Amino acid sequence: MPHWLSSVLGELRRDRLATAAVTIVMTYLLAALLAPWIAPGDPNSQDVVGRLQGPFWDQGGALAHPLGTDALGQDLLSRVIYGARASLLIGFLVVLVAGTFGTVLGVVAGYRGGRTDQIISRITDIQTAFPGLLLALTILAVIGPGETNLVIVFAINGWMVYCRTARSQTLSIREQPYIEAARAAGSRQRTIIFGHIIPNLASTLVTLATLELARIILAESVLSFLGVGVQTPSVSWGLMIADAETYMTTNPWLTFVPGAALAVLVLAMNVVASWVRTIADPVQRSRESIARA
Amino acid sequence: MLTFLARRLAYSLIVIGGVLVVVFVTTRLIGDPARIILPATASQADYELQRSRMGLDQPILAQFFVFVAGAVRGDFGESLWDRGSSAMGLVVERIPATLQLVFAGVGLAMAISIPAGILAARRPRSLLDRVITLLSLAGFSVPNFLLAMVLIIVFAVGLGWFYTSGFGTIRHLVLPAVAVALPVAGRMTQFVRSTMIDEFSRPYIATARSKGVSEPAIAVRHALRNAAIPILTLGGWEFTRQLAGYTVAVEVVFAWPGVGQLASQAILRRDFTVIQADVFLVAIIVLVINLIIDLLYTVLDPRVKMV
Repeated sequence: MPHWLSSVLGELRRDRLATAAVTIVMTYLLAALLAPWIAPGDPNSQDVVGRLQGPFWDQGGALAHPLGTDALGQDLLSRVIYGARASLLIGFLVVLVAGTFGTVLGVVAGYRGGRTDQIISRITDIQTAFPGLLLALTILAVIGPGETNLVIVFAINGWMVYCRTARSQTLSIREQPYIEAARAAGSRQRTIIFGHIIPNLASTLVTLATLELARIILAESVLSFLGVGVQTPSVSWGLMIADAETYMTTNPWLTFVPGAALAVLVLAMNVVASWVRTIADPVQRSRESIARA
Repeated sequence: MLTFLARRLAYSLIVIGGVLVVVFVTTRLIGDPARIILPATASQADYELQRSRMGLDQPILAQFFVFVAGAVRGDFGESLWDRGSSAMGLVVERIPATLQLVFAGVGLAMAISIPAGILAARRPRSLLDRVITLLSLAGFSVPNFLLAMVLIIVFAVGLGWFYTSGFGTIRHLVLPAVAVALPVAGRMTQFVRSTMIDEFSRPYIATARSKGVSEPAIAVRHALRNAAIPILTLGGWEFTRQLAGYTVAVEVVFAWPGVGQLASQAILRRDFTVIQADVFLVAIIVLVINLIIDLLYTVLDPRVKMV
């Protein structure tokens, strides 16, 4: 086992909440990857006779549909498992695209400084001031809903935070003696950026990416709920909750199941992110212990 | 001060220009308003006629200037759905309801998060801190539309304390405001906590303590005072963020007659003039509020340099 991994696991063992959160996130990842094998049935197979069944412990529930069925008689458990796929896939793609783009821009701005920095920072500021969610709704209304378009819109909307973070971190890393040493030793700019600066941004970026992943999953659910996101026959928790709205008063269960699936995943991701931040940031730790004394 | 103001104004104008370009490009160039107005059975000749009537056969730049000239006067034409009503008029009518919701929601969030954040910061990593931190994480892990539905199921349908939808009285306002407030309170509690931890670790707190100042007085009169400006600034940002689209889903669930619900309807009806007016007006309100926050920031905190 590499050293860093064993030290991370050691930290993890000391924090039971973080252990639980990491386990939950892993479970969701596995469920999303293995959906076709572990889901009890096809998420889109309808059964009008067996519609609106309760969960198996309820009266009228059956083990064939452990969490019951929705208004079209579709198996809720299968839909929840497949819903994890859409959310996580969209989330990861957006984080990958927006994260790469934003980080590279931010590092370049911070490292080069001067005019390059001014231009990049100005564009970042301006776009941050846009009413992003409203524009996302507008763009989706025009180019049409769907998973690909969601990824495009979220990526266009979400790179700024990486750019800002990477820039400010680069500004302080740039002044470190080892960068100066690398420069004096004749390293090329590209080697310095990719070999020395970006590896030092890693822990900050991992925290940020985890938080952003949670945020994108929430945003996907909102847009799917509003009808401009994931569309049937694809399955998404936001879409399931939208379908459940009509039955909110008679069958609140239909809201609770996808709602809980969504909230638990996002909560676990946020717990993981806040844990990564405290183990990666010794300054934060020492402040907390001073304030405590 | 004046150059600072001029610079910020110029910057705001650039943002407004950017928003107008994006709105124009998406709704006019990618979308086709003439197609949307006409029934699906319309002939090619009808289509051409409609295009020239709407000025869509003009060169792009000319169209853009007409669009901007209208936007400056707040004129985006009439609603494509509700013929005869001005798009901007429809949006303006809906502003007060959204402002009411956002004021109530963010106000409630601050009332929750300031005491909760201070309590957590008093003893970092104590049981109380861990409980508050977990609750605040839970707060922003639940999307507000889901919260809205759960509140309706429990407090409106189950207990019958509040109305499920509509607008007007305090019994209409409570549930939507709570749905808006809890995620905001979650984020703000984390921020208040970390800001207060920073303050508590400063030397002047140790001095105050050694003088025998009581703990509540240290927290409120000393630490909170110094932390007040960043906390209020964050409150202001949350306010603009909620205005800029975050209340849409809550308004939809509660049938709240605000700009968010209007935007959502306009999008489903492909009523592009209303969407344009909505995005434009919201962008301006958000910028004006941000400008006020920045100005207050420089006035309240003499350490901030006006650059």
